Amino acid sequence: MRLLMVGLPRSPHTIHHLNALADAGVDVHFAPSIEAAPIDGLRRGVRVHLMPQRRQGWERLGKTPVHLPDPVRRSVARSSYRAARFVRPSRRRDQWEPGPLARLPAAPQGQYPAVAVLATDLATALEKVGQDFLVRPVWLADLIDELRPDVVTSGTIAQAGYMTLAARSLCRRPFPRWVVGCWGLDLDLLVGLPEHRDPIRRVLAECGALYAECHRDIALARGLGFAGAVLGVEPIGGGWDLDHVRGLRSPGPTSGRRVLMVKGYQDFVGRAFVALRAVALAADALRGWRVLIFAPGAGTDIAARLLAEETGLEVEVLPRRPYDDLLRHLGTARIGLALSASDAISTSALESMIMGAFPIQSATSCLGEWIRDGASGFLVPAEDPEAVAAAIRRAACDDALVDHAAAENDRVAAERLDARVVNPRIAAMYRRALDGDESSGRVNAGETKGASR
Amino acid sequence: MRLLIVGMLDSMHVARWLATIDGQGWDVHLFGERDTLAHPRLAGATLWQIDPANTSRPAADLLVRPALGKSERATRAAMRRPARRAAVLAGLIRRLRPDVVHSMEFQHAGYLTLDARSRLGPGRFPPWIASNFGSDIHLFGRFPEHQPRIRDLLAAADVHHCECARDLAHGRRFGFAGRDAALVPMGGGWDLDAAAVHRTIGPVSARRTIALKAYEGWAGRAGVALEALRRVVPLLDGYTLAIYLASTEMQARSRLVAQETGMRLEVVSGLPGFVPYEQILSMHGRSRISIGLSISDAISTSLLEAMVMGSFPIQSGTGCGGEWIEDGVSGILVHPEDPQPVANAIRRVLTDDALVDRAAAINAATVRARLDYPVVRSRIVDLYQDALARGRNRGERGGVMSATVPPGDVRVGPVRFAIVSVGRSGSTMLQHLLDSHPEVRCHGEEITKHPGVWSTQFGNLSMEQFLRDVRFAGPFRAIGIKAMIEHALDFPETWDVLQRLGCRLIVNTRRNKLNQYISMKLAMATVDWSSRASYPETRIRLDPEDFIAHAREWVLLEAQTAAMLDRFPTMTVSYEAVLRGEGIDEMQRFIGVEPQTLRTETVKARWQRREDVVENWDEIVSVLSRTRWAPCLDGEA
Repeated sequence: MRLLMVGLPRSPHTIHHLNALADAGVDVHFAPSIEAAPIDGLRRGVRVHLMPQRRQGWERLGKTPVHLPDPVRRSVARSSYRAARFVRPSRRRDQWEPGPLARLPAAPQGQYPAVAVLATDLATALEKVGQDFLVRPVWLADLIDELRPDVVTSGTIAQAGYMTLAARSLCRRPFPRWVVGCWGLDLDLLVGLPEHRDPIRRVLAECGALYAECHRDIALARGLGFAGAVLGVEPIGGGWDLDHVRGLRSPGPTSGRRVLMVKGYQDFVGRAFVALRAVALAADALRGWRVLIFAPGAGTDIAARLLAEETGLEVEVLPRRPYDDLLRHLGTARIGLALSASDAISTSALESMIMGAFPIQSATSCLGEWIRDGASGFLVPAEDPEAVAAAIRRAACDDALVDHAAAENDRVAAERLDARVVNPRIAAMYRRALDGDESSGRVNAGETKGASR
Repeated sequence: MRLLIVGMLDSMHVARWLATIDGQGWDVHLFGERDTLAHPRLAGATLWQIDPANTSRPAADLLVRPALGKSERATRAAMRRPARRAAVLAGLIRRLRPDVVHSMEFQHAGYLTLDARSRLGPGRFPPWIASNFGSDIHLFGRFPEHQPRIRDLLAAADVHHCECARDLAHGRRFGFAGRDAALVPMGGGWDLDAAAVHRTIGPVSARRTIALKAYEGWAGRAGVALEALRRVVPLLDGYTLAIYLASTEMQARSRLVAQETGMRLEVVSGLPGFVPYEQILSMHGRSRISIGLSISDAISTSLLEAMVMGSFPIQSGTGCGGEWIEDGVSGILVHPEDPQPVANAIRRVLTDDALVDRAAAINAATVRARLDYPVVRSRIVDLYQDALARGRNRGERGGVMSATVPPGDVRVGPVRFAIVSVGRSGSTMLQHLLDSHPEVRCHGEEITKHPGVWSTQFGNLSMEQFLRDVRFAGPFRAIGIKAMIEHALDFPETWDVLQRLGCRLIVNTRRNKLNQYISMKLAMATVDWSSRASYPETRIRLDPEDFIAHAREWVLLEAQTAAMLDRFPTMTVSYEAVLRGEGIDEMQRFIGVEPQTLRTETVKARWQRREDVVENWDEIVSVLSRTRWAPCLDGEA
């Protein structure tokens, strides 16, 4: 099976998802949905396609769609962007090597406006998610025509989904089976914004199949009129090599640990400022602890330093390091705290679970399908520092709670997060999409224990 | 005064500061801590850019000039090596020789100025005002990597200017040993009457808008305010949430909250981007509450905006809003990161009409007393005078300043002056006299419609640009021009331009109007206005009535001009006194140079006696002796 994934190159979820598929023996290709360097960790079995760099000149075009008759649009599109080029991850970490054709000279700028034809609402939506929305779908359409994948999968609805939807109308060959992944905030949050509502509905109406991390999102999709097949509900990043990651845990019970790990995301959904304020409010319970902040966002660094200064706690912002280092840190943590205004399971919560840290997660995620709130983790309001501080205090003081939680989460991880179990299921999901056999999609309550609660 | 401001070009504070000092007649120069797009309200200065192409839409009164020469720019472009900003700034200071350098903000502008100072050496650096924007010590002073630099900066600065007493105390803690400067808001003053136009009519308690400063970043905490609004939902019925300075992300977050709470959302300004300031004022002017939360600030201009426009301020207590409002009475101070106290404050303000109306009255009185343009402007003038004085003291200790500098005014750059007179008053002689001084350059009539001067030759430059950048440039201690009053009538902007350029005026008169009139008539008869050669033997006939009309006009012109000139440093000299050799030393001191013996190439054009030149001299005597012009008949000058 040849699969082309369209997604965000900087997302660890994308990288894990691609790796999981490659591990399962799928011929995996990846088309980044934005112009950005990937984070490291992509395995060499994944083939990456880059769009030739043609950004210059686009700013001048502005946001005005230029309407031209269809045949003109097609021919110009094809002559300009017949340049889907193979590249492979470089031997050097964190780099990709573009193929020779990726360095083609730029097309005459006069040709650009011809491809600037997209439905207005979609164009608006694409603009909102920050894509160079006029070129990229054309390039993607060419790539799909050339590559002829069996399945095209869009990593998210809002970003990659819009782009694939646009590309679909530009392809000359019959469009392959289209699967859309719902990874978090698309259906839970973005759909609440008027400019995203219709585009999300259109993607759901036109894609043949959907998979998600949460049952919550499947229900939301159905509510928005999705009538296609549900392929499964699985952690999108795939599973972990549990034997390996358990080796990264510090020895001894969780109750013996004195580290608090805080996710440092602060953006549209990330709420690190609230988390750090909660830590300040609970500082009395954290005397002698270390607070480690990972994945810091803009402004988190200053907030962290002020936290250290005001509370006297030892606070450290972790630089971006290899994934195993992050897990190793989590393996020393008693509590893993992550807050966001919207999320799916939240991979960082799963990471806390497998590393024995007690997860405190915003209730906006669907971690509730994985833990028992109050027993094997806490679900807290994402914007309420007082409530989060209370949760921290309790997890910091109650040894029995965190030890029991660690044991329970270990069991859940063994059943549902082992790569040997999860990754083949993800590959099988796509195979089912290809076969048109969605009836065996594993979405029953038995597979997702938390969902029944 | 020539002033060099180093600051953020996209900062509203810098733009407002410039607006406040506009009209002082100072020569203001601006250097950005980096080359960014200039704030659209930035005006009244010469902006020195390393890459002038980076300036978009400069205001009409903003002259953008390259800080590097053409060849250096080309070399750097070819070598792909960016210029070192501190070196460029040091070069600019060497070139401009400003009276005062003013850095606005520490971490970018202040550190840059400090670097430039260390390149020039402290003895060659002008008096330095370091403005503290609020977080500069209060926040960054907590971080070890900033502490030594802040100490160095404060040790080098002559004036530590703050808007809060709190920051003055911080400054002393970090080793600033000078006298405390006046507290002046960073955004300068306010035209309160103009701002009042943007207020909605009626009591503040009738307003149904909540304004929110939507900054969320290293300091801003607008997200906390959004959460607080969620907690008072039942009270928000019928309210509009107006957000400003909102990034795309914050706009989306606000939209979601507006949907949840049932409020109408109005995005007044987004980031990046500028909106007319009146829109911001008008937003506060229709708001019942203005919320601004950040983990570190000084007064916070948004607090002042709210106070000016009558809106009830809910402000983070991390700034020094407490120096402007009484907590719980004319505003409420909250913790910027705790949504519940913010929600409690919002609840109180939404439900207590008397509170908001009373606060509006108190705040109106506060801003009238402390923020009105004239009040703030005079404090700013004091601030600069203070810097000059301290710099002078420093100079005396360190031997920096020249001995020729007149007391009360320290100049390091060339003094600009203009000789102001009506025609045939001996101004050309004066020009040549002054020009003969080795440290003085005095140009001729520059403000005239005669061909060959600026209005024709330099038609693509404004008068100000031409004078500032062409005529007043050069390695002299004083540079001047001649400004004939008659010609200035053709260019009504003349006096404003001269004032903005910081010119001193030498007003040249000729007491004996009859001699002046005869000189004019002789020049007309011989068609020689040059004053470089004596006239051939000539006889002319005068009309006494015409003389009286001319004399009246000249006197009137001189009186009208004198009334306009009280805003300039002025010295008056008469032709007759100069011929007697009086006042020449004073004149040289007035333009800041050491008095020397001066000489002129001009000659006395009329060598004949009046009665020999004027055919009808007896008639003139008989007519004028009965008029107020009789004294003109007495003797030759």
